[in-house]
Amino acid sequence: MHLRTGRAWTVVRVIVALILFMPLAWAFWASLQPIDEIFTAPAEPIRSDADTLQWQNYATAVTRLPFLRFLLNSCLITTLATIGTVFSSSLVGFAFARLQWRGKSVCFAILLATMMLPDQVMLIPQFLIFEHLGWVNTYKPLIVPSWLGGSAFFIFLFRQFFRSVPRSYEDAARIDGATHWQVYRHVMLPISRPVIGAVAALSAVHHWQAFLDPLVYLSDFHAYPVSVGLRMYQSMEGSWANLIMAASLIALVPPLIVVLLTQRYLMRNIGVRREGL
Amino acid sequence: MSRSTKTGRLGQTGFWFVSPWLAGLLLLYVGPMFAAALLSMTTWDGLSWSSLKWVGLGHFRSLPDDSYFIKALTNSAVYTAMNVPVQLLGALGLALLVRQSGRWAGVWGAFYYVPHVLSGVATILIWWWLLNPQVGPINRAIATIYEGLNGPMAAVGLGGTEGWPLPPWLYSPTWAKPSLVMMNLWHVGGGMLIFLAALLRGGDTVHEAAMLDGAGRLDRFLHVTLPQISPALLFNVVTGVVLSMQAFGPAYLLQNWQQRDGLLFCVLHIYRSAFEDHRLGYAAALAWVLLGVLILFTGTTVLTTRRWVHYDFEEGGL
Repeated sequence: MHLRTGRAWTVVRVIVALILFMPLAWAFWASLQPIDEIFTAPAEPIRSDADTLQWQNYATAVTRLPFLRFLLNSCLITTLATIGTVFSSSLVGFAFARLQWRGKSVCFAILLATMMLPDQVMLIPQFLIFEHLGWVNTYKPLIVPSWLGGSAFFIFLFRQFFRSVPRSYEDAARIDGATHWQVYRHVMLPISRPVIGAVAALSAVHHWQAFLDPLVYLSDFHAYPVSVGLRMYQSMEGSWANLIMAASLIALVPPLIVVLLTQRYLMRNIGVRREGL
Repeated sequence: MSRSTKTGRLGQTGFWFVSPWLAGLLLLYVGPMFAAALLSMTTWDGLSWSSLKWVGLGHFRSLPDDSYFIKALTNSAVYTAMNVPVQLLGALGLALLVRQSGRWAGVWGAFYYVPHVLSGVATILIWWWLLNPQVGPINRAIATIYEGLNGPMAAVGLGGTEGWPLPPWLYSPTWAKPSLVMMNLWHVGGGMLIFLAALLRGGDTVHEAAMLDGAGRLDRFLHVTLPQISPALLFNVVTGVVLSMQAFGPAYLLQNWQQRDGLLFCVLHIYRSAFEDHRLGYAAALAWVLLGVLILFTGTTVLTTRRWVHYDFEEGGL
C-alpha cells in the first residue's frame, strides 16, 4: 500500500517536471523551424525528420544583430560584478560576524531594513547621482554597487556562515599574531567555499538577467548586455519567432551552467538560512 | 595594518571592514532617498536647470486626481493580489511534493529550482510566443481539445464546440495580468526552496508523534506543518508582495495597445514618466509613494504576524 502511493507521487513529480520542461522544449523545436512552419504547422507531434530542422537559424540569429557582442558584454559585466559581490559582501559579513566595533548593532538593523527595501524605488535618484558622476553610458552603474557590499542578503548569508565557525579556528591564528585581515583572508575565506559558491551563483544569475538598470544606463546598442539586446529581436521587423527562440535559448545557457555547477551549494545555503526575517 | 590593531584599535579596524557597505549605503540608499524627497517637491525635466521649479507638496496633492497614478497603483495591487497567493500555493505544493521523495529530495528540489534562475528577458520572450493567441502552441492545444470534444458532445446532443472562445492572453485588458501570473508560476522554484528548507529542518519527529496521537492528514498539516514553515511563509509573503509591486520587465516587454494599460504597473509608470516624459519630479513623488506603501505593508505584516509565526523551530534565529 505504502509503496503504491509512493509510486503515484513519483508519477506526479515526473508529470510536473515534464510540464516545467515543456516551454523550453517547444522553444527548442521552434528555434529549428523555418519561419512559416511555426505559423502554419498544425498542432501535430514534433516531426523528427532532420531535413526540416534548420540548425542555421542559430547562425542567422547571432549574426542578424551583434549577439556575440551582447554575450561578451554580459560576460564582462557579470564577472566584474560577481567578483565585487563576493569580495565586499564576505568582508562586510566578516565584520558583522566576528569583529567588535562601535555602532555595529545599529548598522545591522539598517542592513536588515535595506534587505526589504525595494531597489526599483531608488532608480531615479540613483540615476541622477550616477549621471552627476558622469557614469551614464558606462558599465560603472552596473558594477560599482556590487563592490559596495553587493546586496544586504549576501552580507547576511556570509554573516550567518562566519558566525557558525568555531572560535578555536580563529584563536590559533590570533595567537600567532594574525591581523583581522589575515584572519579573514587565510582562515575564514578558505573554509567558506559553500557560501562563496552560492553567493557567486546567485549574483552571477542576477547580473546576467538584470534588465532595468542596463536599459536605463546604456544607450549605445553595441554596449548592450544580452538582456537588453534580446529586446531588439522582439522589435525586429516581421517578428522572427524562430530566431527569437534561438537567441533566447543561447542566452539561457550561461545561467543554466552556473546553476548546474553550484546546485549543491545553492540547495544547502539559500533555503536553509534565508528566512531569518 | 600593524599588529597593534589586534586589541588596541579593535573598534576602528572593524569599521574599515564595513566601509564599502557604508559607502554603498550613503551613495545608493541614503543619498538617493534624500535626493528623491527633494526632487519630488519640484518639477524638473532633468535636462536644463531652468526647468527646475519648486512646487512643495504639489505632486502629492494632485496624485488622488491623477488617473494614470490611480490606474498604475490599482494594476499593481490587483496583480500582486493575484500573483502572491498563486506563487505561495505553487511553491508550497512543489515543496511538499519534493519532500515526499525522501532521500531524493535534493535531486528533485534542484530540478524544480532550475526555471527560477532562467527567469528573465529570454523566458519572457519564449512565453510571449507560447501565449500568442493565433499561432502559439498553448492556444493550438486548446483548439485541438475543442475539436476532440466535438464528437462526444454531438453524440450526447450538446451541439459542437464551434465558436468556443480561445483566451486572448496578453492581448486583452482582463487576460493580461492572469497571463503574467501563469508565467510566474513557472518560476516558483525560489519560493519552493525556502519552504523546502523549513520543511526538511522541521524533521519528522513531531509529525510522527502527531500521527501516533491519531492526528489526521489535515490536522497534521494545520497544526504541525504550518507552524513549522510559518517563518518561511512570512518571508515568502513579504518578498512576494515587494517583488510583485515592483514588477517591471514583463510589463515593459509585453505591453501592447490591446491591453488598454492593463499592464501599466507602478514601476513602468515611474520609468515612463522619468525617462520618456522627462517628468523627474513627478516620477520621484511616485517612487516615494510606492516606497511608503511597501514600508507600511512590510512593517504591519511583520508586526501583526508575530502571533502566528513560530520561530521556535529555528536554530538560533538571527
